[in-house]
Amino acid sequence: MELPLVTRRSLLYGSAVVAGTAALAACTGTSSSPGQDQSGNGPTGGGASTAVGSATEPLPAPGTYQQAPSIDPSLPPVEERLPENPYVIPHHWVTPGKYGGKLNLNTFSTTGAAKADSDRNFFYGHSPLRYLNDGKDIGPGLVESWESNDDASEWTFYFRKGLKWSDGEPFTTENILFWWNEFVIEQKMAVTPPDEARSGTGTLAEFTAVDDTTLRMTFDAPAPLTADRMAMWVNGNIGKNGPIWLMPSHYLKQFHPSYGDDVPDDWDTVGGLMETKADWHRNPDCPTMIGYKCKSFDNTRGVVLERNPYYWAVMPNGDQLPYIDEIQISVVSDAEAGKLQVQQGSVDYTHGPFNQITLNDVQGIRDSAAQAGTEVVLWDSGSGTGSIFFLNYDYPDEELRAVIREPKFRQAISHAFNREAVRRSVYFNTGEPTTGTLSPKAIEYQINDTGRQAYTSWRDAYVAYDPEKAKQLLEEIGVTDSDGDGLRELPSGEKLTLRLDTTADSSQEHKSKDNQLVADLKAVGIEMRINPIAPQTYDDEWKTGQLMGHSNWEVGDGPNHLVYPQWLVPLEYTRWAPLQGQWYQQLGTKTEGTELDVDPWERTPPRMEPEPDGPIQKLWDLYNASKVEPDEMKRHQLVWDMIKIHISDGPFFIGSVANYPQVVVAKTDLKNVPRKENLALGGMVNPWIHPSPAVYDPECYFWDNPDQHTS
Amino acid sequence: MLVFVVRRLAYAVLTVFAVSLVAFFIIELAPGSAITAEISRLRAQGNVVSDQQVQALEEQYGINDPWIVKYGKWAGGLVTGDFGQSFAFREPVADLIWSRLGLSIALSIGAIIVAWAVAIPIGVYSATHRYSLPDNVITVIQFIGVAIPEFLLALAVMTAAVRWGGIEVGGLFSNEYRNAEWSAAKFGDMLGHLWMPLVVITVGSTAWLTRVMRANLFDVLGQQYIQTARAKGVAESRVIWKHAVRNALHPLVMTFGTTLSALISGEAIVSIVFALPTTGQALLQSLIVKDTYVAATLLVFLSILLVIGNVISDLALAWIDPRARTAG
Amino acid sequence: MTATAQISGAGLDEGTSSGTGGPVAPDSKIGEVSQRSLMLRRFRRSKLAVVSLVILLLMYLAAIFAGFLSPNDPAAVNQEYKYAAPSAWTWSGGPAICRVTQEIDPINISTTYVTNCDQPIPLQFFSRGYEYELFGLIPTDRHLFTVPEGRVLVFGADGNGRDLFSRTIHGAQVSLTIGLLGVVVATVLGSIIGTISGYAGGAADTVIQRVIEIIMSVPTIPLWATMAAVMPQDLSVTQRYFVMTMILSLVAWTGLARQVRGKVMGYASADYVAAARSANASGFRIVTTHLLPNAASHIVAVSMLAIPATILAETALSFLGIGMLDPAISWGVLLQDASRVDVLQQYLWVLIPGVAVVLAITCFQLLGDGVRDAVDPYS
Repeated sequence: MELPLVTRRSLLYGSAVVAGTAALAACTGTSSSPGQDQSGNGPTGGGASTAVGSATEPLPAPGTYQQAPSIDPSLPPVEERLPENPYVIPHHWVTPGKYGGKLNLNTFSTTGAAKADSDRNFFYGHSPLRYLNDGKDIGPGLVESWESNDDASEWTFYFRKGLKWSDGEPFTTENILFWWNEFVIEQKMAVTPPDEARSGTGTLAEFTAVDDTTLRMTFDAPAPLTADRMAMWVNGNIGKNGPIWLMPSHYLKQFHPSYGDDVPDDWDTVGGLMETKADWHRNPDCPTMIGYKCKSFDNTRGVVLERNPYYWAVMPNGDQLPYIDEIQISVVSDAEAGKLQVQQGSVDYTHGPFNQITLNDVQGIRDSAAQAGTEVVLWDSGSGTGSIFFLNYDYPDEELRAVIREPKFRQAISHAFNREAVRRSVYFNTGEPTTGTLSPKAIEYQINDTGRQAYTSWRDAYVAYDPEKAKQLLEEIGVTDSDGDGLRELPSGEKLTLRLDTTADSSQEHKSKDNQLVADLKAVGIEMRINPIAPQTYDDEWKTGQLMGHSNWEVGDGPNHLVYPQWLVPLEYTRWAPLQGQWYQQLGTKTEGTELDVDPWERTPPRMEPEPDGPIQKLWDLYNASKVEPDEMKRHQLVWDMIKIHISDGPFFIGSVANYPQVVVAKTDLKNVPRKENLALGGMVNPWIHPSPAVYDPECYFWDNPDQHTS
Repeated sequence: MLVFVVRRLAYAVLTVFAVSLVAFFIIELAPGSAITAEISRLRAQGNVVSDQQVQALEEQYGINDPWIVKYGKWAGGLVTGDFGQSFAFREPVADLIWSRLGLSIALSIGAIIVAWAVAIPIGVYSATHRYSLPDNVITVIQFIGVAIPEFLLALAVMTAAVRWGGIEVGGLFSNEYRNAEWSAAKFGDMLGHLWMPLVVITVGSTAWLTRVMRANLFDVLGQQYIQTARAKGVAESRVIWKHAVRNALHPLVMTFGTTLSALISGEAIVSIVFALPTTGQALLQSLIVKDTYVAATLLVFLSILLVIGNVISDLALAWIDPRARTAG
Repeated sequence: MTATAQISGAGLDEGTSSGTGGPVAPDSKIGEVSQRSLMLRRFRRSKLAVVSLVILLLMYLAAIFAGFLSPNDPAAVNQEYKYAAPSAWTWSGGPAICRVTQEIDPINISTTYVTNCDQPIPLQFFSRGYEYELFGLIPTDRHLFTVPEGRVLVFGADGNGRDLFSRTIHGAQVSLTIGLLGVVVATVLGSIIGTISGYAGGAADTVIQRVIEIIMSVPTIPLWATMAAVMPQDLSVTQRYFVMTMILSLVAWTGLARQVRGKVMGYASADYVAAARSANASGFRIVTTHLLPNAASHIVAVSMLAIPATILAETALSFLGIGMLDPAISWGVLLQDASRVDVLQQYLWVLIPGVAVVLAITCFQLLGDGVRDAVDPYS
């Protein structure tokens, strides 16, 4: 706070170097103790730790290592399997554990295990960098240290030396260039360039492998968010949980027509040869860099994972991870059946949001907890809004659009909305009522007092439940009851009916919120109708701008506003200004400047130019400036300026309850599962870009009694 | 008889062809596509899906071809055993079907056997003890059995089993056996998971078949040849089982096809609730997300199953009752 | 429960005659008593059928007067009554309900209700409540009973605090009529097509029979699901209702058409039809004056037995999320809300609409049986 000039990036970079030298010292000279010293910091016995957060400076390498007794003795010794400087689990709450046992997980998927992306979110080992402390910090992952030039247009990443794939083959920068050259550049397997590979002006970076462990990315303009974005997602695999980044090219080349023989023409299609072979989650032969590798896969039954003996992470005491031998992930095609299994105790660990387990289910799980040997753990969702509602800023009907664009109209809706009722019913009085912001855990709100104030002023801007004020605002803009039927009409006297187009499969909490909102709006004289729409068509229809209201989403998105700014700034069609978002998307493409004489909703794709001095243009200007701003503090300032527009011209999206808890159910015998009190910010479960529980390293979970968990 | 069999089989083939054409057309008529559903899902997770990527996916999957072109591709593959690629399940449709069809057939046939095994004796008892207390109880149970929505019954049975029975529910196996080699213990574990859905699937059909059996037998018992047999002094049990029941079974044989259809529908819904990997579950899911190839192929497979059922019942009937050979 | 079984199998009790066209005593006259009063007499003898008829009539009456009978607006949410149990009744110079207070524990994530019967809230009769339109026409706000404060919850409340009693009787408006209307459409279709098929014979018969076979060769639920998926998205509740009706009847007519065909073929070979034919009566005239009236009672009986299947189908489609959908109120929508583990374990009253479904279907079956026994005593 008092040292705003020391950016997070440079601080971390410095510390990584220091740690590196310390580890080097440990390896070369002094006696065996540093690792043990380190482990002495944490609680050593069983029992729940009360330690909070994770070390931001990498811990020194322990020097001596232990491995699981089940590891094949014919493999090289553990010291040789690990890299020079392994990743030492930095979480303060972890305690050294016991090897062995099996973990049973459920994965909810109505269309089989291959599509169960959620269980990939347990393993962070493919990510070049990692989020720490619920996104407050960025620490080393595969990349040990990194640096950039002054204007952040050239980045160099130093990978750990001696990293190995789960088949024992060395990991090199070649594995990254394979992905970059053969898939991103060649546009195979529907892979497209990730944001971190684009500069602030949108041009692609140039990837250079300086040597086997050094990667350089060169941009034509500042790309200040590169490191932040490389911590996002668990990465790896086939690009379902973020960009791929690394592929085991030594294994996969045989399935690529440039290298292999007899590769079929459709090798790169969806579900085709490459996709099935490159998916570590379904192909037992595919090497991984995470703590586990696939043992067997069956699309209807699920996945069995077994230990990766080359995993490059250790506990502070030198135990090579993972502790648990095997993870059995079972597909459950019906959420209710899954809930019963959790109650019964046949599931050892459940990440609620992946299995449709919400606060409503806590009672039932608690009732059977003693029998099932489970415990309910609540982590903060980090949601900025809870269930949201927003109107289409680019609705085709001219008068209606004018009303929707009138800030007072949206402010009136916000004031008419009884958030406390939703908080009571859906969120059991947890969380905090909010106008609707981005995640309260975001760095821009945590960094200093200005940030904290930016958060509270946005959160509280139009949060008050005040129907009288709502009515007064509506009167001011001419939305009055002109024909005396108790419902308000448009200024022209036309009937005003808002339509809340929602997907038919919306979950219970969204439906409850929708019903409450409809009732609240009726109380101030606005008619709103809920219109369920088939999920498979929703996105297409929203793109055309024909839908009026959107409901079943939440805003969370990121430990940093700018890594995922789509809610803050309309950049694509899926959010509150679909046509203007599409306009931004088409800038710099060959579509730009065409079809100007066509009705915006008739263009392909439908798109619309923002008003020159309107809020969206202002947001774009600020955002464009932030993309090439290398100074972190100045970027925060730009974000705060954008928030001011959201307050003066917003709310563009209307939230309900921020930061309610999400449910995790764990067996009491399973240790090293952090409690909310252990987490730096209480958790940040919702955004997939901050991958929970992968950020807490489930590889270090262990059974207190491994013998009791062998099936 | 041979002519009848040949004609019947020819009709069956034609029917399957027509079903495939109509089914494919209707499925394609629905708006949206599996890709839209997928993209929405990815976006909801926070993935950035660019237009470029969408376009690539659409091209690979042939989303924008006219339906008849897609039908041609698919039907051509169907004959050679290549059913295309499932977008929603990320596996070849053939793998998907073969891995699920066994369980579906087992459940359907199991349900038919159970339904008949229960319905015939109870129906006979009911018809021969008309208006007695047990008959009235059976009647009430029958009516309620038909009246309970399957999904609700399934969920209620499952919840009760967890709460009071401590029985494992959901899926086919316990954790212990799920990925183990086949063994007697694993088979037993599977039966332990299957009996509950089987009972739920069967309830409706059993209740209905019992009613049919009861009514038929009662009618037959009133006919003259039964009176004659009785008058001749044939033992009552012999009259009922040898003469009456055999004739009362005709309509039951005729309904084989419709019973099968009902069981397949029931299987689909019950499998969803019990989280069983059956074709029914995959079919309904693929219809909802519009995974055309999976949905159309499964519809055709189930239709083939039904057509076979109908052919069997027709042939059986023709064999029992020569008059039927000239009809339809 | 299993939909197809009912529709196509309903008449199978006389299946032996339908396939082969055996004539069933077409026009017997017993003494001077007319056919109709004879049927009525036979129907009255079946006590269960009569009781069922009475129950069903009451249910339809409740559906017609749903607004008047409902103390609360079925769509009105009130989060202070989320999953509140049915009101506790007491006496205070008349029937009265106890007060309930909601208590939420944000630590243990639970909602509990404290019931206090010290100051009961008395029921008011023929009192003013929310506004509605009687028969969809007359705006009024009179209700059979209301309470001056709080919420009277005869069946308890759902997850949004909506009154399940009001919702159940409003749901009957959709569910009880969707079955009836669907079957009426199916009956008309089935009768016309079945008659043509049976009377014309030849090529027309073959084509119709093949089409029926094709429709019957697709399992019912997936077929409905396919058609429901084609349904346009932006339908109003009423439009959706009619489309659902059409979808349900599109499958249901096939079984009926087969039955009718069998009957018609039977009658067509009867002497009096041959006589009419030789007197140069037109085909249309023969069908309308001789064949249909004779088959009518049989058609009615078979149709009755098809109603339960359509009601069940409506609930099944809602469960799959492709039938009627919230905010529409139907029994299917209510049961979809109930098909959750937490409901079954903690809020059993949310299942009450399920009881209504079972009751209605059982009554329809008994009634159908009674009617069939009355019109077709020999089958």
